[in-house]
Amino acid sequence: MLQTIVSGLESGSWFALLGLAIVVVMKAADVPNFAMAEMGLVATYVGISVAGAGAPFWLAVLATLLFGIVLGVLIDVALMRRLSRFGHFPLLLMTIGLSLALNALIGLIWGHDPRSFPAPWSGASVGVGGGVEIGVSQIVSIVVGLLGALAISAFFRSSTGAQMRAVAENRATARLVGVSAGRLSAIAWGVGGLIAAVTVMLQAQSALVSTLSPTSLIIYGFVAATMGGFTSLIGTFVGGLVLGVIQQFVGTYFSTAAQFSVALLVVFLVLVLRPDGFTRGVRLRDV
Amino acid sequence: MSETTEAVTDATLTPSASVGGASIAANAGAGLDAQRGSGLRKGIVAVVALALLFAVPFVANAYLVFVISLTMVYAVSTLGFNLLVGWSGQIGLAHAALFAIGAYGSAIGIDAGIPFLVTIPLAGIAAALLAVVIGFPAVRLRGFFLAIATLALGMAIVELITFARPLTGGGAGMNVTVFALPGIKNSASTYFVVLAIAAIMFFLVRRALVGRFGRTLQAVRDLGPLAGSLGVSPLRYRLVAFGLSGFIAAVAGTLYAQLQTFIFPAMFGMNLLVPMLVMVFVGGAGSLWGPLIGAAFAVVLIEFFQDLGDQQAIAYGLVLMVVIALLPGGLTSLFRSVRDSRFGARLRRGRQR
Amino acid sequence: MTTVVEFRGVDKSFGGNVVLEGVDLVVEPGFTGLIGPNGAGKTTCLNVVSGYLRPDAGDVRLRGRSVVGTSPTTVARLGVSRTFQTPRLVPNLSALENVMVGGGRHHRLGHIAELFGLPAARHDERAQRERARDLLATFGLGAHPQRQASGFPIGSQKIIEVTRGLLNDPVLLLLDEPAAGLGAEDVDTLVEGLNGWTRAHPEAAVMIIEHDLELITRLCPRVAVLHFGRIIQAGAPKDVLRDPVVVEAYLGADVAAGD
Repeated sequence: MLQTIVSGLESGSWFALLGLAIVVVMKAADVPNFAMAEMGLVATYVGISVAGAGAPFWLAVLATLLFGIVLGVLIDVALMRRLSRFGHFPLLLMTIGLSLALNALIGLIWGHDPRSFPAPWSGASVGVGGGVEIGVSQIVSIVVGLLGALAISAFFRSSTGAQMRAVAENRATARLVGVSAGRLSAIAWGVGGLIAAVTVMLQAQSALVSTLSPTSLIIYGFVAATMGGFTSLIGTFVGGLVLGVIQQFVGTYFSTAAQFSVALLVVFLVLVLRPDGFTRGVRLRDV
Repeated sequence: MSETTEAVTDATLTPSASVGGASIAANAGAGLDAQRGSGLRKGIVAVVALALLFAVPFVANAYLVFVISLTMVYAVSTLGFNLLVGWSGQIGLAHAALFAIGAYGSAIGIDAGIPFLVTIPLAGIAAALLAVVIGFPAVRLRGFFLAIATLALGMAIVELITFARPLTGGGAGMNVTVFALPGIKNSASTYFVVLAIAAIMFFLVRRALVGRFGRTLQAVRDLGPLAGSLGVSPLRYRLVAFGLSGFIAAVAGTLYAQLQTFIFPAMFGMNLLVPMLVMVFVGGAGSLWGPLIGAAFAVVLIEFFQDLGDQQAIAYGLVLMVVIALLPGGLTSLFRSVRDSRFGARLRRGRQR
Repeated sequence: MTTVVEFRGVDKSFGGNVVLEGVDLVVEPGFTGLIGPNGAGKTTCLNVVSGYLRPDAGDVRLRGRSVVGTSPTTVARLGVSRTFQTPRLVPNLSALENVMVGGGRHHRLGHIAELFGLPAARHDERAQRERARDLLATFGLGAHPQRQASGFPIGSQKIIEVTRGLLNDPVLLLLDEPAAGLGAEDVDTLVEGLNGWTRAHPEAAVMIIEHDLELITRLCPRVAVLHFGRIIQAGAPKDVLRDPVVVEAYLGADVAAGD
């Protein structure tokens, strides 16, 4: 039972983080980024390659994070900026196209075999009594997830973060006041890319990732974002965790085949009962 | 005061964002009046096109016949998708799943002894009911949430189909017994059936959209909750749009099953939904040619890229991105002025619901 | 004369913000003006009577029947039409089609007839088309009914919106700043058209929110003044506009808000 909860919290942390990345970019740059998971995967694979070339663990991590940021900013500057005025539907399609292209690119460069991110604690586990063992990598996922969420919250309390919230609050007015929407959009995408990289990296250090992983991960990320109403950071975070736990319970006590469907039904139920999601705490409100 | 107001009204002002609708809807069905001017001409073109299409199996090889059949099937599906996305302004992403209901429903029905032609309306009604069930909570949601909710449900439906192995053959798929018109070769027979059904669907849908229903639907799309002040119930019209699009999707699905002769769940996932999105997007709108153009575009693309093997996915991705970058309003926007779309503004105003 | 609308002690607040306080208003057939500084609650009154807002207290009656808690769709079907500060038309449709969208009150035929273009629906359509055409002509827009709505200047769009409301044969027409942004000619056409229409429909009432006091004086035998959610004066425009309380409200608000 404890094992199930921990596993649920672990995968939930991934979903939550990705959801946060989606919300950040959505709110600050007004783009529903379907390619978020793929971006994280690219960055993670870069890190894995760096580690494979003999570099120390922390260097590989750094490489991943940096690549995530750079990729995010690049996509914003080179691609998304030009299309921002066309509305959500074309942008969504654009990011879908991007996710397809990135996924195929990854397959070309690195192949489709599952990989993992080698970490010093790989395989290690901790006994919590009663014969139950919890993987260290799982604890890492949960802790990093929590720290990440706190960091993001803190960021949005900073002046840059406040500016970003202002932009989300009212794009037109913010621009009038002189807030540089371009610079903020780049920062938002950079942050998004960073979080996505962290997410997939966490996944890779505890489980296996491949070109097949992003498809389900992005859906879960969107579910988490939906549970936060696309506005509340806490809502997204908690939503992601809850989703992970429910998922894990379904998998353990029912069947793994039903897991995905259950997640889908959960989001549907949430939307039906609470159309705006659960919104509390730090909110990037849209007027 | 008069001087300034006069200056303001002298220019031909495009309506501000508060009047705007979704980006694809920017070109959606310009009602009877815009079509009327060329009514007779359009009628002649349609008849000529039908005649040409009728002649195809006699002159073309089996491969071409198949491709054109597929295009027509996709065109019908896009007709329904367009009704939902373009005309009623709801990004409902369960379309591929409803398409699947049509395919599987018909295949299972045939196996159960129901004549194929009867399975078409039956599957259509089943899908329509399912679409309404999905729509019930969904129509109250604003734009993006609607998309996610319907996407989730659509995927769940496909999962369910996989689950129902005894009925559907599960993940491995099932065979489809092909219906043959008496005395005609199989591939040609399917072609004629598809042509006939597609022509009927186009005729019916056009009729529905060009009159009061289409007008009111667009008013619901563009006015949102304010449509209530016109004496119409926005929720009811959106629900009807869901049901209709589901019906049309399923009809297309039944034909698809006939064409492919073997169906499995993975066919109806993102692999299908993304091309469907491309088709509805590229085709823009307009009750007749839009879906056809979009479908043709997608089919040409798919056939073109088939030989690329592994590079296919990159190609799709790149093409998709290029098309959107160049033609954010779809292909038909080339023929009309591109209007500044503000789906985002709609999303924000959706808070009033 | 049957009273068309009656507000009795209507209160409405949003959060801590009191928008309407104890509003008592009687609207008889013909023109009634509703004026007041910005933010006084005028549009809120329209929203309350058209079913978009539910008053916290008090009652609103349409021809004696309470419309509190009634959905906008039902209220519209009871014979209420309204226009908005910025015209809400369907840009893709022609002017004529936009007007035709307004016949909601008479939608007696079900969806089936609509969808399949059954003879009854087609007959209905033709009749509505004629009426819409006539209405547009009355308001000076008979020349290009087929032109797309987005191709008209904003002033004409507002007039199209008014004619759309009239297709409904309303007993109550709510106009929210109909003359704002209109040139003098358009205003004249609007006034003429509205006068003609009210003469043909003596039992109907037209409530006009306006800042153009000249227009109000020209059109409305009665005007009510809203200030911070309360009716501070009502009566004939000549008297009301000279009332010191009203003048102070306007000037005071102007100076304070730098209008």
